[in-house]
This record gives sequence, structure tokens and C-alpha cells, in this order.
Amino acid sequence: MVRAGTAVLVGERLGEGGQGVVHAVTIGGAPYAAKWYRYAPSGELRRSIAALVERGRPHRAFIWPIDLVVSDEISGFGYVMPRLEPRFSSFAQLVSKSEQPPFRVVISIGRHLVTAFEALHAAGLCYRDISFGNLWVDADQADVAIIDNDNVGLDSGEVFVWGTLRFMAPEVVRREAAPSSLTDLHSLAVFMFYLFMHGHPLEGVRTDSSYSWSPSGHHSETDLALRHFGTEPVFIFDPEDHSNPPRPGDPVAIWWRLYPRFFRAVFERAFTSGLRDPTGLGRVTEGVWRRALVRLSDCVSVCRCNASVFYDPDDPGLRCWNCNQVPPRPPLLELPGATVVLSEGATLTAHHLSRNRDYDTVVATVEPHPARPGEVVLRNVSKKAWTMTPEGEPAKTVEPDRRLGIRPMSIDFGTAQGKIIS
Amino acid sequence: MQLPNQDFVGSERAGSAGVVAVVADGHGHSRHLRSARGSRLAVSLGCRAAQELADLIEASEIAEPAAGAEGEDADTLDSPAGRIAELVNLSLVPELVKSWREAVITDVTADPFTEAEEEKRRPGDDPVIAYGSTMLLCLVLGNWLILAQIGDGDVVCVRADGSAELPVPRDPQLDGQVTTSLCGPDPAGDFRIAVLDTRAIPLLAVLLATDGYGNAQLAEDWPSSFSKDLTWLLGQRDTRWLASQLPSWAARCASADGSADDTTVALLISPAGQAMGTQAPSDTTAVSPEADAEDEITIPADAAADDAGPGVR
Repeated sequence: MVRAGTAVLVGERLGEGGQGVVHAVTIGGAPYAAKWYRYAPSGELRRSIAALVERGRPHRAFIWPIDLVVSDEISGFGYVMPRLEPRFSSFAQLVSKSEQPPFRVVISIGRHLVTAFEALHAAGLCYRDISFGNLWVDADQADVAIIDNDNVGLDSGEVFVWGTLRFMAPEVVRREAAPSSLTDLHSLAVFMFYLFMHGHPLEGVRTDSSYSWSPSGHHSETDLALRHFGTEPVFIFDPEDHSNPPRPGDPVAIWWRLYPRFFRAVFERAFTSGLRDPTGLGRVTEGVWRRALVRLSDCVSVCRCNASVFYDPDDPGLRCWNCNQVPPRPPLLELPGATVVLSEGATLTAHHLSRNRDYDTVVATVEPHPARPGEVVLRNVSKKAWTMTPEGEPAKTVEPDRRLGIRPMSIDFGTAQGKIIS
Repeated sequence: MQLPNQDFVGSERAGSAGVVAVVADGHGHSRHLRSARGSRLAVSLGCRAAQELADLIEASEIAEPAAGAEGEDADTLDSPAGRIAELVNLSLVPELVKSWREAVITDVTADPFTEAEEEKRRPGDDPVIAYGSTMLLCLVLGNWLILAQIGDGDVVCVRADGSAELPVPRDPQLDGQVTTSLCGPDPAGDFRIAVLDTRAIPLLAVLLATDGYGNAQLAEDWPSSFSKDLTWLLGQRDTRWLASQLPSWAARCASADGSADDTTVALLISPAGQAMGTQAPSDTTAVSPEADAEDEITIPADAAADDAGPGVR
């Protein structure tokens, strides 16, 4: 290792790509991974990776270069990084599973991803190559890992990688702009569309119909990609341009309909004004995604038919994707700035009560009623007692770790007041 | 050598207008060297769990008869009593067992066993064994009397006619030598539950007593004698007098003349009991009161003045 001066013991090959090969290595007995560049890399690439090592990872999700490595026996260089834990699998595997993870897990994955990229961009860096292969997920813990961070560079720095076509921003496809944090926002939006809608936002009937084997109608893949992702991209759910709707039978149409209007509106913006205006004003920023995902998480509910659905008080007519009925209104907890559906598995986190960005410290959980199937109770998992005043009843204290039966009431959480409507 | 008292007792409000009383008896064997703490935790956590249960009952319609269910068997799962009992088994008992164990582990972590204490423990003993305790819990909520008990001790309900009702099922594991316990291998399974509708079985009072009380009694069927005596006393005296006497009754039982065992009692008097005016039976065998109360009592200090509403008090 160049900085540490420590020897690295090289083990089995873990994988390889266009740029290099990745091996398992051990350093002082601890497991790591090392990427070695297959072909003679440029001095600029080495300096870029050295700069990443110096800077340190901006967020724990990034499998970040720790140090450069060189060898006395082979020319060239590589870098060591933490080994990707076995609990992670590729994003492609996640979306291709027949049984999808629960909504809350998918939303958490999206939120962690957004937070990671927000940290990256805040550090003045851009990723440049968001794609299926670089994003790994642990669905059990709703966690993400971002690999291949040798693509990362300064927002205005030299470009070594232009990206993966399907995820490239239109201006990058057209080679009118280099990858940057702004183009990352487009790639992030495409990724989020895959995560929630299980399809590509720009691939619809029009893209399909442009493929032709007839001599007069045939265009190369490159020409088609340039047109559909670069010069004439049309969102498959564009509210005004209906020239490129989803292909018949494409499940993306079913997924689209089950989300509340406010969430769909974010994608509409990303793939209408976001396509045309690459500035920060046009593209959806991480903050907008984060707020939308947090609100979406608060909407997770259950239909009468037991299907997992969304309930948005501002969109109460949303039908169940399974039985096509309008689900009954679930019990709701109204807080300043949020309305939370009290469905099994729902959590209140610190941000609900303190309006901060702490989305991970859980202060309350919604659990199944111990004796009434289909009903739920709210458990105080914070360190502070609450005061609840049910309608028609005197005020009572809810000590930490205690549960309360859900019915109309006001709750004083200490830092916020809430009201349960059921 | 006289050991410090390992019993504990407490009562708190529960639900909108109910009350919970809990008595706990820490085991006296040297192996249970922190049982005084264990019984104290049992009482506080028992009260908390009962308050949660009260809220869950009040939040739902569990305690109300189902529509069209007139004349249903009171003992079926579908009856209000059955549903309450189910909730006790599914909610109160597991929560109590879990929270007591967690509280003990927290205590041990914050205050590890000393060398002297380690010498008293058996090799491989789970830390909770040192804190072992029984528990007798009584929750009064509206017309419902909800009882949960683990280990020895007695719950005696005094009927309106002066007879005794012992609603908590007997535990064949209790042979007078050993007891089941919160520190046992299956505390949730060892709990015994009873739910009474006081509209069907009007009561004057409920006594919770650690085993020292019963062990001090001369008569085998002391609950019957106790019930008769208390019924007479309720007609003669007010609850303040009873509260003043209870410690001495307990002390007498704990003395060398009695069981020589820690004795703690809680006595809940219903509004009907407070309004008593009947004559006592002539064959009374009441324990005569003496001075020097050492044990706490649980008639809430303000019980007589409390106008919270109906229910056994």
C-alpha cells in the first residue's frame, strides 16, 4: 500500500470489468478487496484516485478507495477498498425478484441512496456512472452499497467515464456536457424510476416502434439511443405529450397507478422539465426526493383485502392495486408538517417530532394488537413519557416501552403535539 | 439472622377510573440475593403493565358483549371475560415477563454482582435468579376484576354474602416448599389468570397476600374465616380504621407467633364494602391487631376520599 506502506496479500479473483480486475486481499489478516487496472492507466487517473483516498468517503454507503497499491512485479497500480459484505446483492437482482420487498424497505433503500448522493455532491464530487451494476442493496436491512467509486471525480474535473447509456442525462448523451453532479441527478431519477416503477422512464411504445429491420426504416442502436435518450426523449407518463406511452402489458403502468399523486409528480418533473432544463431548477434535487420519500413512507397502509397500499389524505380516492376498491381510511396521526398512517410496521422517527433530519432514531412503532387481529397499537420506544388524552377520557401517561390502544385522542410527545383520527 | 424484608407492594391508578395493586414476594433463599430489588421491580413494572392493559381494554370494545350475544357462556373466548383473559395472556403477561427480565439485566449491568454476592450464586445461574420474586396483581377496571399471579401467595375475594371466592386457579407445582417465580424457566407459562365480572359476582373486598399471611393462619380454610371477619368489620368500621390496622395484622403474621415469614398484603375495598352496615357472624376468628407494623399496605391513602367512580376499591 502506497500510503500505509503495508503489504497486501492477494487472494481469489472476485470479478472483473472493462477497466480492471478485482481480487480479495488481506491486510494484516483483515479481509479487503483490491482493484487492479488491467491496462496502463493514465497518470491523471492515479492522481484522481489518490485524491479520493485523501478526501475519504463522503458517506458510509460508498465502498471507497482506502489506499493505492503498487507491485514490484507488475507495472501499473490499483487500490484497496473494503470488501462488499455478502448480505448485499445487485440492484438488478432486487428488481427482478418475483416477490418484491415491502414498500417501507424499498422506500428506505431509495432514501439511503438519495442521502448518499447528497453527501457526495455536497463534497463537490460527482459519481458519473450510476447504473445497475454499481448499486447494491441489502433488502433485509434496507441498506445500500455503492461500488466502483474510481468513477467519482470533481464536479468540473477530467472525465474518465461517461456513464451507462440508459442512465445518462440527455445532454451527456448528446455530448454537449460532461458528467457532473447535475447529470447525476438525472441518473438518480432514472434509478429511482426503476426502483419504484420497475421500468425505464423513456422506453415506451415510441421507442419500440422505432426499431425496424426494413432497410429504409432501420437505424443503428447508437442512433436510436441518441434519439430516445438524447435528442427526443419523451417520458412514458408525460402529462402533456402522450406520444410515448408504456408498452401494452408493461407492468410499469400498474406500478405507476398505485403511488399517490404527489409522488408521481416528482417523476413527472424529473422527466419533463428535468429532461429539458439540466440546471438545478429543472432537475429534481436530493432534498425533493428525500421529502417525497419520507412522505411516501408515512402513507404506507393496508387495504381491506390485505394488500399493501398507500393512503394519502390529499389523494383519498387512490384505488387498491389488488382489489381495485378504495381502501377504508386508516387511523391517522396528525403532526405538525406530517400525517402518518398508523398501519402495522409504521414508525415515528425523531424528525416527525422535532422537524430535523433524523430519520433513523425511532421514537414510536405501530404493532399488531395483541388480541385483536387487524388492529394495531402504538408503542412508545423513546426515552420520554408521553401524555395522551383520549376523547371522553382523562389524560394518561404513556411511559417508555408502553403501548396505547389507538383511538381518537391528542398526544403530547413533549417536543410536538399530535392528534389521532380514527 | 433476620434478613431484610424482600416483599414489596404498590398501587396506582389505571385506565380512566381504575386501580391496580401489586404485591411481590422476593425469595428468601441466599441464592436469590437481590430478591428485594426483584420484588420492587415486579411491583413497578406490574403497575405499568396493568396500566397499559387498562388502556388497551378501554380503547377497544373487548369488555363489551358482542352484538346478539345475550346469554352467552361467560367462560368462552368470545365472551368479554374470555377476551379480557386472552388479552392478559397475549399482552400483559408477556410484556411483564419481558420487561422484568430486561430491567433485571439493566440493573446487573449497572451494578454487577460483588465478590461476596458471586459466592452465593450457583455456577451457571442466570443473573435473573438472584432477583427472583413472585407476583400477585389485581386490576380493577369498571366492573371487571382482573387477576394475574405467579408463585405462591393468596388472592381472596370477599363476596357480598361474606363468603370467600378464590378465583385464581391453583398451581399444582406449588407444594409449600418451592414456588414458581419470575426468574423461573417459563414465567409466562406459570402465570395464572382470573377475570371476574363484579356485576355477576358482587364483591366487598379483595385481599392480595404473600404466603406469609396464609402460612400464619391457624385454620386450613382461613380464607372463609377471613371473609366472614372482614365482612363484619366492614359493617363496624370505616376504611381508615382498616388501613390503620392492616399493618399490624401483617406484622403479627410475620412474627414468631405467626409464620415468621415476610408478610405483605394489599386490601381493596369496593364501594359496596365501604357502604356496609351488616352484622358480623358470631364465630369470628379474626387475627387480633397488634402494633409495630413493618410492612407496607396498599389501600391507597386517599381511597376513602377518591370519587373516581365505580369499581372495587
